[in-house]
Amino acid sequence: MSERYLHGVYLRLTGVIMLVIVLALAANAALSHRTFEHALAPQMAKKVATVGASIRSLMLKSYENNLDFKDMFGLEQVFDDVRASIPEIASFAVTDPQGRLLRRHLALPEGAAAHFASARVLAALATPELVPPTVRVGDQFIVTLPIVASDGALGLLHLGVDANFVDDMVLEMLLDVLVILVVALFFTLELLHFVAGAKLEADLRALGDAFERGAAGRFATPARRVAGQAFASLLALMEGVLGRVNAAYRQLADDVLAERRRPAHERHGALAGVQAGVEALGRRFGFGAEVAERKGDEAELARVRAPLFLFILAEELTRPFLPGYVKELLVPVPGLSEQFVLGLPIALFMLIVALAQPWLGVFCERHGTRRTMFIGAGVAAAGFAASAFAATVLDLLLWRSLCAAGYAMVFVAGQAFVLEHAPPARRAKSFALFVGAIMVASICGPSIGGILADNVGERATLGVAALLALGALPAIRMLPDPARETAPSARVPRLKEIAALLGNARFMLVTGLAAMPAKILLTGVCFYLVPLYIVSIGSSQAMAGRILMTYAVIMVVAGPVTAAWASTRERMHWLVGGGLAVSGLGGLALLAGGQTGWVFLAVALVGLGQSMSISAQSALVGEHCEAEIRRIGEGTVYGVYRLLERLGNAVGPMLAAGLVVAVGYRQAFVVIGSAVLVCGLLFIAITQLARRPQVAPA
Amino acid sequence: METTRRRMILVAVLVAGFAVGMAGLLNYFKYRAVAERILTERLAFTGQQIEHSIRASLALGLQLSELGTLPGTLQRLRATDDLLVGIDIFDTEGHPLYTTDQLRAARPVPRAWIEAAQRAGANEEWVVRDDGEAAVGMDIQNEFGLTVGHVALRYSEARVRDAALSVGRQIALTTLVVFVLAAGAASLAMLAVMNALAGHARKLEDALRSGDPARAAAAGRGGPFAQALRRFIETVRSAEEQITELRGQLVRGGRER
Repeated sequence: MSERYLHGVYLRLTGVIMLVIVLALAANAALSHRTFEHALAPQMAKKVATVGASIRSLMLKSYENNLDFKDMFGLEQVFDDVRASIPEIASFAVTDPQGRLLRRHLALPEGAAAHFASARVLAALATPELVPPTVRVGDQFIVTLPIVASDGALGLLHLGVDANFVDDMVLEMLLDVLVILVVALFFTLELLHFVAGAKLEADLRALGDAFERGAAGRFATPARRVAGQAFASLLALMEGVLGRVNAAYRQLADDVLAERRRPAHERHGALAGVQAGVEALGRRFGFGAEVAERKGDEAELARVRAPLFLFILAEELTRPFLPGYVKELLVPVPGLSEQFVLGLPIALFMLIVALAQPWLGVFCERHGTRRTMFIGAGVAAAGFAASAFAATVLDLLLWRSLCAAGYAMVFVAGQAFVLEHAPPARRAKSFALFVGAIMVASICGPSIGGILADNVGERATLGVAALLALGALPAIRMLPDPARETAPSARVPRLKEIAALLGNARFMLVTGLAAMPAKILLTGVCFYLVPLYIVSIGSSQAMAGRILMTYAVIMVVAGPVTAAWASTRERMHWLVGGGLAVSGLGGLALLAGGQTGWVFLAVALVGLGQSMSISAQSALVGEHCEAEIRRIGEGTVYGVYRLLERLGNAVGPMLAAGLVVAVGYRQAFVVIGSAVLVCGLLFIAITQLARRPQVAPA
Repeated sequence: METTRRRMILVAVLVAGFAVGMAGLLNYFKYRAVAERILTERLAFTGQQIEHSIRASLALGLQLSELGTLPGTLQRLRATDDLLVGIDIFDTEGHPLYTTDQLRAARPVPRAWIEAAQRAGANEEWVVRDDGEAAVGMDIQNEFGLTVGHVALRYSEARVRDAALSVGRQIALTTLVVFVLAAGAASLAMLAVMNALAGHARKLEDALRSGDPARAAAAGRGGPFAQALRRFIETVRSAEEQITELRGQLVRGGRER
């Protein structure tokens, strides 16, 4: 009940704020339209005047060669040539010294004739060296140039500029404004959660608990009192009512006990009945004091979301422009082609994250989650800042390695923090909080990163990423750092355990045929191919960011829906195999065309497919490897699974680079997509064959 | 609730600041990109006229260094555009051949120009934005398509930047005004939601104090706590009545003793 109410409160708050933001952005667009028009119309007019001056000198030269000014042959061709290079010019006109129309080309604006004959325009003939100010006539800005020969004024040349060029500017920005709206929506939800949500949630939960306790007749004093803020007086009133009933019962019970201590002959006859009534009341309702049970402190748990969001946002900012940035820093590396070098920073990052995690688990256990996260965020901030000043791809590799080490530390510590604070019964929901922060950052980061990179440059954007990572530090400092007696012991998987799992068909079915191909597709297509390909076809880094945002939005929207379907092993098999097939089809979308729209479709299908498979995949490891989990432990099995899965992350960019060298960008999409599609179909086939009951030989 | 209200205002201010700030930033960069494009096209048009004129002379068999009428043409064209500081023609090694500024005739053109010209493709303009040496240029090709030199049209980057900053200030002011209004409106809207929440809580309190299930049902009508509130009051009343009844029996029994 309290969760539904809380969601309702969040929706109302988010709704009102987004309504105001939409209105603000609309007002901003209207005001900027006016500013653009005032600032750019004169500049456009000067450009057109430069063009007009060349037409004018051509006309004067023709007149000096005794051509009739009123009937110059070939002028339309000149106008067409000029318009080919300056398409904003919407009309041409030549008038005589009295303002009468002699020639026209293309559609003149409404009111043009009156304008041409006006005294202000005709007065320009007196100062032929000057260009009069531009005037808006109808839907065009008119630039007028007087044509004066040595023997007198010949007439005026008028060029019309389409006033809609400012409208076109504002419309071009519409996509980016929509992106800002979407990011603002998720930003609002994160801020609400961070600034007020945890406390509000705790207060609502306390309120709900108090209602439930009263309604169920549990009047016992709770083991832990929540000092509410939002509903303090209401909560106090309810606790007071419950406490009053509890105290009345206790007093009654004490009085009954005191009466029973009297000598038998002094006891009154009704005592037995009263005592029976008190006992019945005690059985029907709950009185006394509740026993404290260990619950996770969920208010503390929610605090980890804000620093996680900020930190992951910093890394996600770099997704749309990192390969392009590497391209600018390229230097020849002996033995490696340019495409491989482009993929090296991404692959190295993923490799370090994959290999470091098992050891970082042990580090985190020894030094605490807060300290590990703090160090990680600091190291990554240094890595981002240094990346902004990278001179070549070689030192960029070093700085990105720092970012990777920091990322791995924060990731591992964040997971460990959730494990420490999540109540056992709500662990899955608590991990959803962790994953949610990552996914929201994946929505906001690439889109904003692309816009920033296009406008302020990649180095400045890396500087912003460094600031975000630093911004996570104060939020990390606010996290509690409790004793780690309840956290499971972490250890690095042993080589023979890894080898045993590698040789286990059931384990490798999920890991090798599903998890690794999914990650290869993700990093190869989304992190390597998309940013490079989009820019290569003439689009922008902002567009690459929007495409990557699409992936994250689909994951956020479809993920919970598909996770709810994964209720049986059979369904999980279909979800994993089907998800792989759908994401593989994404790569094949580029067979249909190479424009931006097809890339959008490709990434959307990748997102849909991965949202189908990701939750079920992880759960299938436990389903397939029950015996191994019993033998070597769940932590070890899942540790190896995650290690191999993340090695897939590292392989993806290198594989994509090799395919680009061999077959080009579009074919690289198709090859990777086809391979993943085949993996998905194979997965389904193998799991379905394994299900069929074997017919025993007669 | 007061602390929560203050935090909601903070959320409103931060979100409005982010959204309106980003939009303002976009406006400025869009304006600057378009202004730079207009400027480049304006100067490039003049450059193309020069290039066409030179190509026509080269087609007649003249060498690039032998065009006697070119200095006059350059001076005339420079006078037609107040943005132009000067026009230079130089060979592929960077040695100046013609210039509207005689002080530049003896020294090579800036290295940045040569690098920009080499990076640009054939028939593409190049731009160098530098306070002292800003220029828009293009290559000069003979009738065989070979690049024999370059034309650079120098302009005042400081003037362009000042104009951009002036517009930037206007955009910043507009953005600030919109931000203040948006932050205020959003804060008020969020406070209204929080006040409605507080009002609901007050109604529940009043209903609880009355101890009347019917009144509780009316207070919680339509809300998520309606049924829970009614059951709460009914259960509490039932327990209190039974305790009172048992207490009464105990007291009466004590009197009869």
